[in-house]
Amino acid sequence: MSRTVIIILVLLMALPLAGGAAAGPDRSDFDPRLSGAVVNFAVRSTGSQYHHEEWLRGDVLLYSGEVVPNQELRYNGYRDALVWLHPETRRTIWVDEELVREFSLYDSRADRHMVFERFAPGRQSRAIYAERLFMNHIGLYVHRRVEQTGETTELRDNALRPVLTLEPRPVYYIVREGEAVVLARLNRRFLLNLFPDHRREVRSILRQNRLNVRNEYELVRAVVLIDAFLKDASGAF
Amino acid sequence: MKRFFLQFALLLALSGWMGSHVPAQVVPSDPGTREHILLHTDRDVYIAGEELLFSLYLVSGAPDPAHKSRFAYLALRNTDDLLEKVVVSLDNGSSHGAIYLHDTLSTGFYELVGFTNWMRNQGESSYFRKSLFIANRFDETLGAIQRPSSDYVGNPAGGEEGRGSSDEENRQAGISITAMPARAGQRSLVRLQLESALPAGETVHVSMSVAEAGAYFDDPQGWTDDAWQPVVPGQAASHAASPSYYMETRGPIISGFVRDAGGTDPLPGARVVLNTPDTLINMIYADADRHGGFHFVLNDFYYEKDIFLSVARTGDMPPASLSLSDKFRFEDPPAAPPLSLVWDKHEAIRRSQDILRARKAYGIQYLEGAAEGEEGTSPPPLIYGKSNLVYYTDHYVPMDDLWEISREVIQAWRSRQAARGSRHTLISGLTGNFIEGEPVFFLDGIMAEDPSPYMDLGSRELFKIEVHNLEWMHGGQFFPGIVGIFTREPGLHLDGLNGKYVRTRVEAPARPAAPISPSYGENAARQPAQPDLRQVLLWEPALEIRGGQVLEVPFYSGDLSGRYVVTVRGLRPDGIPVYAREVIYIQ
Repeated sequence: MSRTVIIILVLLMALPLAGGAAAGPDRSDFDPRLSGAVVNFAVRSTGSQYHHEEWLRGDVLLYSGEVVPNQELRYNGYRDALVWLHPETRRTIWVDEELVREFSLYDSRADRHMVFERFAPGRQSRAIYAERLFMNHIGLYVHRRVEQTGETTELRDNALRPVLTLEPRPVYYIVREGEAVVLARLNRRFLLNLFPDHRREVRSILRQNRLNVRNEYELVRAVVLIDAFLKDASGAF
Repeated sequence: MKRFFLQFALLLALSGWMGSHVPAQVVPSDPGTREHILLHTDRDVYIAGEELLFSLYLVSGAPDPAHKSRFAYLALRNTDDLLEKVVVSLDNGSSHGAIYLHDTLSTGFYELVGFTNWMRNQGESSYFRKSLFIANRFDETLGAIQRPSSDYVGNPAGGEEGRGSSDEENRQAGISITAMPARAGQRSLVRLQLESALPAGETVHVSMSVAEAGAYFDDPQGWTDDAWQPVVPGQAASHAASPSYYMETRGPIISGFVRDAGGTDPLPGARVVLNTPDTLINMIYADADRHGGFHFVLNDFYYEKDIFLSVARTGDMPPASLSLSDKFRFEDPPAAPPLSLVWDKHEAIRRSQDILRARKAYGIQYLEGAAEGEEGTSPPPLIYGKSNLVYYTDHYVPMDDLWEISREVIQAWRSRQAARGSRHTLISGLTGNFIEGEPVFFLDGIMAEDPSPYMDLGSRELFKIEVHNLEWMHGGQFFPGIVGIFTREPGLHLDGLNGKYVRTRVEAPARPAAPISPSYGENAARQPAQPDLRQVLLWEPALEIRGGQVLEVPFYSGDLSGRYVVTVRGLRPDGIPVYAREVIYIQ
């Protein structure tokens, strides 16, 4: 292929770009926008503040009903904050929680799509971001909380600086008829206590499916099965 | 080297190909799409003080039927003035409503113009135009129609007719009308049967009016005219390469230009900020394109509100001037119809004047609704949900001015007077350090570059002060903190904002109007309490005639006897207009 042909090819392919630019203003002017506080400090810690250490792509649904699509996001479980990587300035922004109804994160490596929504565990409780693990007639949410479990110091720039010890401490909530109940521990007994009217049947379901409910995966499976049972057991559910 | 060059060229070519697809994502409408408006009014001749009833159809050439304008504009004008501006929201490409013709309108010809924002790209020649005659209620001599005129050049796209009916014409137009009975008594039931020539399954959308024959021009014009060109899906418009105006698919759009202070050179990239006075700080912004043009899509939050536009301050941006593009500014003058259209209407107009005077005297209304525009339900576009700090002035002893308030009450706000105005800094609510740069001030929701003019406001004038002492991003706009100042009388102090704003108002789309159709049933003779002075016996703005079926529309005649004309107008599914007429007599 001669150089001249290549140049002509390049010019021909690039032509629509110039033509397209004249077709109208950028629609991004019309899209909703995220707001939040610029964070220009860092907390030194052992253990991560974040549910996912890397930035994930996701959409943000605002209380206005508008969607801000395809942003780089992270969830900070220590601050309970949605963190946004500003696309132009690359600054880290804590998105204004008062404006956000829910957001999604897509983990392409695990091919996992997560949805976090503003969730008030009780009528008097402050709303938190909780990941929606399951939602049908009953709902299962997890607050991906990261807690400070200790603090050490390190010498840095001739000064002693605090270093927090952070650990993930997720809290699970089961929502029935609009009421959220915290699952104090992940085990079979605590789950059975949430369904006193159907304790025997729920126990049977867990046994049949060999679910000890010791981890999140088993909890989700158990809730899905219980939801299906309760739906069958009560037409008015 | 050759391989590298080839790879580089392919990369460039690929980027060019991807770039060519960018407009498909960012441009909301196919630039080649054509649109046209069709309007049907209940009459041609009106008396000032009456309502003009209209039905509006949008014909779009967009291949995707959902991708067409959702808003249309109507203007009533004469050679001297623009008298009425109406916005209508389109439901599936059609709308209907009423325009009140103010009592003060002088006798003469007027023009009703219909268009969409997208049609502005096609030029004014594509607008729908219809000539009307309006007589002042108190003009007894009707001198304006005594003078003959010889400069009539025709009205290519508007007008109605006063011809006699023709079954053959109606059949050709695709709609047939059968009146039962064709001669009816006062306050008696009349049934109109409408039939379409279209095959079964296809629907014609039409509007229908039954009005006194004297209310129509004696000249056949309008939809059967060759001037109307059906819009063919996929047909490209001449503006396809560079449309200047957006299709309003989400909300009304306001557009304008940012130029340098002299108003000559465009300022590409200048950021235009739009606020409306409110008790919450709201803001949207748009960046000027390479021609200095900017566009805002407004949701219904802005309906019936004043909006303020200004250019955001940036370090290297020279002083700018803003101008708005006025949708209702027309270059072409209204058509000048011949007076012969109304030459023999003296008697009919005088009769209508008398009837309207009687209606006004007795307070007889034949229209419901239409007075107010649609109400907005969308939330305001907030910069922040809740301010970091809020101070209500009533919670503290009265203070003279904002200097004292910031000094005594608001610890996070440091202000001082300087040689040129005032200097302000906020202490961050996150770090406790001073935030670099000056906070952005808002007065009653309007961004104010320089707070100096209202630093003299004190507790007596101020209701609340919000201090958002955080370094804040809203989209691509950075705020080194925000101070919101809210007065007890919002708007009262806005006039003092240095004249750096372009101020306009967003009209809400008009609500559909519903004419009152009395029903006399079997007891017509026993209901004479109020005279039935309707000159428009029926106005049905949205009828659907299905192919192969007969649509029956019943109505009652009034107390006014005479010759009435039934007109039916609308659109076939393929965008071809249909039209039919019939005459009935009330004795």
